[in-house]
Amino acid sequence: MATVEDLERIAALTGLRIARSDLERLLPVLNALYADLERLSALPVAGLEPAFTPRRWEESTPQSRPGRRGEPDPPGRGRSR
Amino acid sequence: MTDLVFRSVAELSGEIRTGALSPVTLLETVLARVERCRGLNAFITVTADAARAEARDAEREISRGQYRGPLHGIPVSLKDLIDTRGVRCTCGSRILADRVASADAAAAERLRDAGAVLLGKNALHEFAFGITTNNPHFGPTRNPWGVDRIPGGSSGGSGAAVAAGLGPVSLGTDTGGSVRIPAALCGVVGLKPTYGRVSRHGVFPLSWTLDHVGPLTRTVEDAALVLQAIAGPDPRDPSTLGQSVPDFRAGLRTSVARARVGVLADEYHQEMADDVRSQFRAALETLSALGLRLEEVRFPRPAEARAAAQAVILAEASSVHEGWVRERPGDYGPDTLDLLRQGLFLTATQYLRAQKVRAMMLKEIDEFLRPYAVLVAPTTPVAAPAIGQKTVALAGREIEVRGAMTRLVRLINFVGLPAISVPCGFGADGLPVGLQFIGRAMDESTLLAVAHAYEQATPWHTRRPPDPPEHL
Repeated sequence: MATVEDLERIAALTGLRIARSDLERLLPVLNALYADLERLSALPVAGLEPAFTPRRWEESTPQSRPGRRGEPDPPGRGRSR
Repeated sequence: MTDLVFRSVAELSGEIRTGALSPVTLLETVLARVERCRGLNAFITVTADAARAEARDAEREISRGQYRGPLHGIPVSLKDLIDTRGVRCTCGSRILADRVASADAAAAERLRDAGAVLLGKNALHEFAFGITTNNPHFGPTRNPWGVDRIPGGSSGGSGAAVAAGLGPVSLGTDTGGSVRIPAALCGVVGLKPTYGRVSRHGVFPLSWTLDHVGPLTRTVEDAALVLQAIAGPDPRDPSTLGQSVPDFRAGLRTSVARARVGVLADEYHQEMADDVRSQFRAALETLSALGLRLEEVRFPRPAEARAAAQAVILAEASSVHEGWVRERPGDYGPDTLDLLRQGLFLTATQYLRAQKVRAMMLKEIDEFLRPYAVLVAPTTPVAAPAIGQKTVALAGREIEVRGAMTRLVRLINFVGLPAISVPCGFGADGLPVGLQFIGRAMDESTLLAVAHAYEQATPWHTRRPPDPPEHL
């Protein structure tokens, strides 16, 4: 469990000016968040690379061709614009 | 004329194309309605003069036979963090209150290309970081269905505007539910496309890896029409590159009978108020009657996904705002500042752990979704809370409003799937309830087809809120 003093030290180290009363208010929220994130350590993620984005498809291919905006692809045929 | 402002884009465009309805007449009718409903506080800026010039141009082009398509001459508004050239873009903040955009955002540019008339900029939660649209700098936006209630957020002005007949379309953004929540609370349609489907160039970021641009409309067909106009690759937003754009409107005619629908029935997704539950059950009966095959399913690791998504949004938003949080903390509203400060106390390894969980979730969710056309759940577990309300009762305990309203939507941003909220009835206080369909990545066509079939089998999208009191 983090304490207000811990948060004060982090704030000082990172150059963040913040009143102690504000830190006292943030403390329970942050402790709950830290606990949630600690629980994520139990998941089988050690060997994974971070995803960074949820993008799934490949980059543009040489077949990509420009087209008019707002104009759909012909039925049954995809198109990269 | 009241009837005109509640018509869909599909209906209006048919008349505009034939010359039966003038874009100038339509715009003036909508502007009068905006003035009549000023008390809702749905707009930060109304660009009436520029819109009049655009409407006249549209009328001239159409009369010459240069009809551009279904958005030509249609009044459209945008959440006030989407840039439009020469118009201030405040992000609902004091910090950017006087900032004037030098160029159109990609989505605004595409709407202009499609012939839409840009009507103004909608109110939002400060910097889009919240779900009430109770804005400390511009005042609260009010829900047309109950003016003492929030419209949801962060695209609350967009939801209120479309619901109240202040234009049939608004563009919003959705980082943790901010298109779908106001759509649900205001009784309209809200579509969050797949991550990367719509360019975010020119949109002020909240969280780069969670942000999506999407339309709020009165019908699913209109959402398809707007998505058609704004979707597609944009080299200025690399997340969009390489995609293929289908004909979304044509996809609405696809039969969905016999399609498999996963009903999210795990404990996490089953926590909802009684009035929401009864509307949700009725919606499932409608889907069954349409011939869809419903199966109860358990979303993989929802609580973990939610925690990881929370870390990602806090860290990324704090990074966007770091300089201002240090130099100008007094210029933020208290709730936004609290969230931004929380992000500054996260470590790099905690952020990266969350992104590793995302890598795992992406794999799991795609396998989980593969057998199903869509998943279905309520959009929010409760209807619209009162303005200023801090907590809501859920499953026998009091939960902070933000946590309750994002509970069923934020997970979907984390995995980047498309999702849509459609009206599914009214709760105990006569307030709208939303039904959320979640689709497979880049398969908005199936998502829209199922949502359209449901919508057409129910009367909810035809309901209109009462006129707001003259003096709010």
